[in-house]
Amino acid sequence: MLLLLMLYGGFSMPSEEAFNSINNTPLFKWLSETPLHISWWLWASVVVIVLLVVNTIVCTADAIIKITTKTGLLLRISAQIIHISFCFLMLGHLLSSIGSYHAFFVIPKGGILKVNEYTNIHFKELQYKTLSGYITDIQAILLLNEGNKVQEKAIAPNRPLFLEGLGLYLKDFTLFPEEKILIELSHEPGAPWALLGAILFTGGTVSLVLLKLKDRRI
Amino acid sequence: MIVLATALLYLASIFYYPLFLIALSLQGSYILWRGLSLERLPLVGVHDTLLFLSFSTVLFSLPITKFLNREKRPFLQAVALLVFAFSGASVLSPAVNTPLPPVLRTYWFELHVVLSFLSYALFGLAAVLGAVGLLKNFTEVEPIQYRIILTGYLLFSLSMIFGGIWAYLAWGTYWLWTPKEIWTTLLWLTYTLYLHFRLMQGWKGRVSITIGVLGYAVVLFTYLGVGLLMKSSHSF
Repeated sequence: MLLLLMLYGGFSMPSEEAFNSINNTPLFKWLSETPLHISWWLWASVVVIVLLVVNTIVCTADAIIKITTKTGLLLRISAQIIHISFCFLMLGHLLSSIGSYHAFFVIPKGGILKVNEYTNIHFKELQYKTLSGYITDIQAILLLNEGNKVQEKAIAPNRPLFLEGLGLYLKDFTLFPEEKILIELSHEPGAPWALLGAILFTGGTVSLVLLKLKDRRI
Repeated sequence: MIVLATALLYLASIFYYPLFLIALSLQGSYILWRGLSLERLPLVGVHDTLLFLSFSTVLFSLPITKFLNREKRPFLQAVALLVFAFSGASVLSPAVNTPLPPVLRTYWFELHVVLSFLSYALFGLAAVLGAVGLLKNFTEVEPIQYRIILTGYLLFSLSMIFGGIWAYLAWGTYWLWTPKEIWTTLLWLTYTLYLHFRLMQGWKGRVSITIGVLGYAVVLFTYLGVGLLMKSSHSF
């Protein structure tokens, strides 16, 4: 069922303008604001995923309770670790779908972004390297003012700055006629749970694959 | 010219196997040369990714043949045809020779892309083996197909995880709702379904082999269809 819904979504999404904003707001906020005839498949997918998670929790608990022998124990536990990891991954998605935050700011050179009551950042300058006329490396030098403490920090693509639960990302920049940067302030409450799920999934799957590859009974 | 020569060698290897290994060596040398001259992994754009997919497919096919008997020759011939198609298509695509932009200069990107294509190669080999098995009625290939898909599933899952970590560091979120992510989920669900269906009584055999073959259609659309036909962060 989920496959069919995603298949529909995979084809309908590129042709609907409403999806242009889906990544800028929490998913459930976007779903509540988007007409149902556009978002129905995503709503249905959420319902199916909820059922899948409940099913996974019940079946995993049942399987663990029923483990009575040590034969094939590691194989059976590996499979259940994978199932548990799926639940953590979905928990991560749920939390981010409710409480994520993304805001974008253009800051000219010398400009200031107020992050909160006590913290602001001052954009000092851009530093970059080029190769054959292409920019290969770039970082924005910022002055971070937290209360009375001022520190120089650098942010770059793939090297954000994390401040009090918020991530500060260098999204884009211009060099001419004046240096400007596009900053994203981002908060993903589900990220730690998704990472936990990913780690468990990796461990469980590696173990299961190694055991299955050695099993001549397959 | 080297890419065209490699493609033709793969085609010719259908009739004379040693050409298969010569083509592999030539293709590997070309990829290495591109990497050294560009000073980066040559994995940007259709040209390079098709070549890497072709190379990986052939490379993985070699250890698989150790587990085959009467299926070996038709399997290798089918693989040769498949990689001829990939290599031939790469000739038609211009190579991307520009330096990597800053957002792609990270190990997470390299891990994400390399693992994706290694898993695509394995899914392709599983599909080829399954197709040979169905056409020639060699259902004893089923356990081998399963092992290939299981390994591909691990690598693909890891590529998704590394992609998520990279996205979090690059764009502030580990998940984006774009056609590429939807199709990636579809692909992952397809093979998850295959792995679970196989555990069900009566589904091991021709049914699971068929799912393993059809799954490759999802792989090809996820890789090429989305990149070429849809607007997404993964567009070519």
